[in-house]
Amino acid sequence: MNRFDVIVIGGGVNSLVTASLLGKAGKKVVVLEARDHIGGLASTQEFTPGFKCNVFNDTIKWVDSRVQDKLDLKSHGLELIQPDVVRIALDENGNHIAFHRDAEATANSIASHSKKDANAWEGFNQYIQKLAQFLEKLYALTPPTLPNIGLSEALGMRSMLGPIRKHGTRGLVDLMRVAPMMMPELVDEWFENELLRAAVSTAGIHHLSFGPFAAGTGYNLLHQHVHSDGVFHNAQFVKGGSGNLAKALQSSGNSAGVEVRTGVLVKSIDVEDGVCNGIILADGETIEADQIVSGLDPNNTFKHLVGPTNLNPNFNTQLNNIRYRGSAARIHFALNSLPEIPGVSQEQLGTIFSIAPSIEYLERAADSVKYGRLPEAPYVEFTIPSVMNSDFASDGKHVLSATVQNAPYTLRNQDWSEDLKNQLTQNVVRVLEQYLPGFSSKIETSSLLTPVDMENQFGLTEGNLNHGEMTLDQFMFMRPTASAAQYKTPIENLCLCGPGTHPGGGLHGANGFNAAREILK
Amino acid sequence: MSYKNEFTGITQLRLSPFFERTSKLNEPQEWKRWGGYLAATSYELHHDNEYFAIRTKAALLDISPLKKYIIEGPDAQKFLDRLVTRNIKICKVGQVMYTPWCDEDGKVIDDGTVQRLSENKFRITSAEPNLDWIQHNAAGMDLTITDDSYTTAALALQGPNSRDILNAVASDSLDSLKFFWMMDTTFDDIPVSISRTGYTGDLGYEIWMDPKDALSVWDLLLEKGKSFGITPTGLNALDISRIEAGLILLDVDYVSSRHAIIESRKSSPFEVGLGWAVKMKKKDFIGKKALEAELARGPEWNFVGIEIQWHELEQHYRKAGLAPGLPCTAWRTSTPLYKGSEQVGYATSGAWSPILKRYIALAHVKSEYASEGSELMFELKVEHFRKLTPAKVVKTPFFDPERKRSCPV
Repeated sequence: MNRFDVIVIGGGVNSLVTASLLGKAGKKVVVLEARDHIGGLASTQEFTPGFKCNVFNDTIKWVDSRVQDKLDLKSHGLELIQPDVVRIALDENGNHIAFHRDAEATANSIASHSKKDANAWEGFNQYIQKLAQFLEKLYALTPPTLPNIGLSEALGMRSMLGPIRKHGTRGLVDLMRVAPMMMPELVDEWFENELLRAAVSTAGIHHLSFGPFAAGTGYNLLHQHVHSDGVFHNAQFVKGGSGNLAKALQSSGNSAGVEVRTGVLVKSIDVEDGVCNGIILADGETIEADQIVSGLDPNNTFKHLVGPTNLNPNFNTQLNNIRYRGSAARIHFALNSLPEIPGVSQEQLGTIFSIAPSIEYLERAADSVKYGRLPEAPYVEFTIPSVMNSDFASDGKHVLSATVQNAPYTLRNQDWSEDLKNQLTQNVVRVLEQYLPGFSSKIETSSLLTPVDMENQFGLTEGNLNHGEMTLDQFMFMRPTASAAQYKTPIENLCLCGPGTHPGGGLHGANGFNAAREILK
Repeated sequence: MSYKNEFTGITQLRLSPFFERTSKLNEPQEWKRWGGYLAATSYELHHDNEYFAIRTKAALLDISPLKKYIIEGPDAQKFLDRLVTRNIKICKVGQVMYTPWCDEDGKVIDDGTVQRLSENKFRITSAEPNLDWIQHNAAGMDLTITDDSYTTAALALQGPNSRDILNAVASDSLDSLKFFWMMDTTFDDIPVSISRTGYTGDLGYEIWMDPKDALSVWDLLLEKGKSFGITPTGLNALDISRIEAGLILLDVDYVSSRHAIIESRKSSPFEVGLGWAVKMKKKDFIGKKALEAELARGPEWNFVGIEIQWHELEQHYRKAGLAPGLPCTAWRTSTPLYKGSEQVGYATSGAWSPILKRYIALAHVKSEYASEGSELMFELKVEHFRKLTPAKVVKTPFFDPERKRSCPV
């Protein structure tokens, strides 16, 4: 029978979280994924024969503990690896800064650059963790409906009293001060060493189209440190690849009777008089349900599936005003052997490496996005996932996956072409070669995903990995828009659960959890 | 960089395609701004003769400043049906519908006419520019929108003799053209469209043409219309006749929701007397939900006609030793209306009706005091002092001649 209680569109992390939670609550749920694999941004797949990669994310900052517990992800095979060294900021002369889980060890690493900065490190780390605690409470909430804040909205926000009690209004004031800040101002207050200043700033521009000199990068830095376990630049690897997170979620869903269909493209959401009753597939099949949940971004959900003619004018305006502007590219290199990084031991290879010698370097790299050109010297972050997952490549071969932060979705006066993609790859290889001598000679082949490729292959509007930029004007009750910030939408029976909703991007699943809670209300 | 205003061809007021003629006829050389154009307030020193042309002969008005948009394409009907409150699905080719359109809160943005030119082609007219609103709501629809404001010139020929004049000029008879319908014809080989519409509440027509033919059409009408008393007419006379007809004017009788700076300035169609034009049975249109809710709780305001009672008015002036003071042009100053000591409404435009010999006004009145016959007090200023004088809620149109709708056959 083609009727379900709930249809979930999209098979990414949040979609699977919502589907599984609703399944557990006794609903008859079907998940429809257009691609052949579930996982979305948590996909692990072969990019060239014999070489696997984590398509977008090699690491996970946090997985919502409510999701882990409720869906019992451990027993469904999720295993998170927490490396001792979470990140290494590469120095051209081999004097790298290693960020450890232990703040004291990080301070020791910083000491070779600046004693003063080493002394300031623990204070800074605590300061950021303190501010992130406010967000942690906020992220578990459904945003209030503005502008009508009443008693029920105020009561709904009561969990915020915890951190306020703990850190006082001083903490709240600090939060309001840091969130709109730009990176150079923040690090001016703490550090003198340029490599460290840049390495800290990279957290502020993660997956953002701006450079560190943009206001509001302070918020993005805090967003990266929610539930970070007190670890700056916290990173966790999923054993077997990021795709295993999706697999664990699917397995949990299956045990709750959730049906997952892949290779099923939804053509439209059926809306009449502001109410939706089902969906129509690309092959013409219709499926009915009491509730439709979309894990797609707002643009795809509303403009493509619902259609602007079914939306009221204000909401259409709000949708037009969402900024996407994807600017991160991914390159996967198939290597004939393990690359060597001077100053990094073999045991330390299982971490994230960043190449950002100075804040100015990051800003100049971001300029290329601003002006729509290829970055000559982009900000590159990379991992060697084959070190942790031997099945990513065999026979001593390896995979290096790089996130190139500054690849504009829209190029000035030209479109992305194979030629331009090759040029970008070469620019990235040139940057890597400076830190990994002989790197280019190890490359067997490579695969580049530009923001345009991400849009075409993964349905990410403008290739934005967060389904809308993580900026203060697209935060909380303004995410994705003021009229749809409570997971419900102006269309009756249509909800959102993807990263386009509060609390935004990442593989944490908090959006999916909050959405399921609202649906079950 | 200096911030001095620099006027360019675009910032200057436009001249209508008829300006060559109207500018020479305009004796007082008094012009008003209308939709970015210079528009004549009256052609003679006083508008009396022009007013009586509307009611007893035929008045020729340049209405080119109206904003006009062409909506064309397979989704044109669907689009307009969603945009406006009238049911466009039943609008036949050659038919015209007067309609308001609302924002999603059910507040009126503008009002105008929708002409169905062909199955998939419509022209919509409006008082103010609406291109942005039209384009915004056309997202995802298969149609094209063309701003026709400067590519079509228009004249209104209004008054009891207007049909005779057109029959003398046009190659086809207008005898069977019904109220709110339109037809294509030619004036000496010049193609024109004629709609039986207007803003006077009288027998009348509006003639739509290519701007390049504007002067020829003007000359033909004046020549053939001379024996019928055709009279170039300005906005002062029009304003009186539209009040007699009970027709509202944007920015005078209501504020477009688009530029109301406070909520209370916005009006729903029910609150400006256009409830009849809201088709709630229609599937979905912009503002429907809000209007449904408003209907359920009952609109707060009504829009009514009032008549200021002559006897008491005269007495007020007599006490001051004056003859009754009557407005010689239509006024548009908001004027309070009281019930007892409470202000229960305000009149937004009023005039002495020369043909009815009554002092009339259009007013917003709280629903509970708005029924026909309801007696209110109208604020009047006699020799610098405020007085209250009785006014009665009456039916509109104040003036509604049978000839407005009838056909000779």
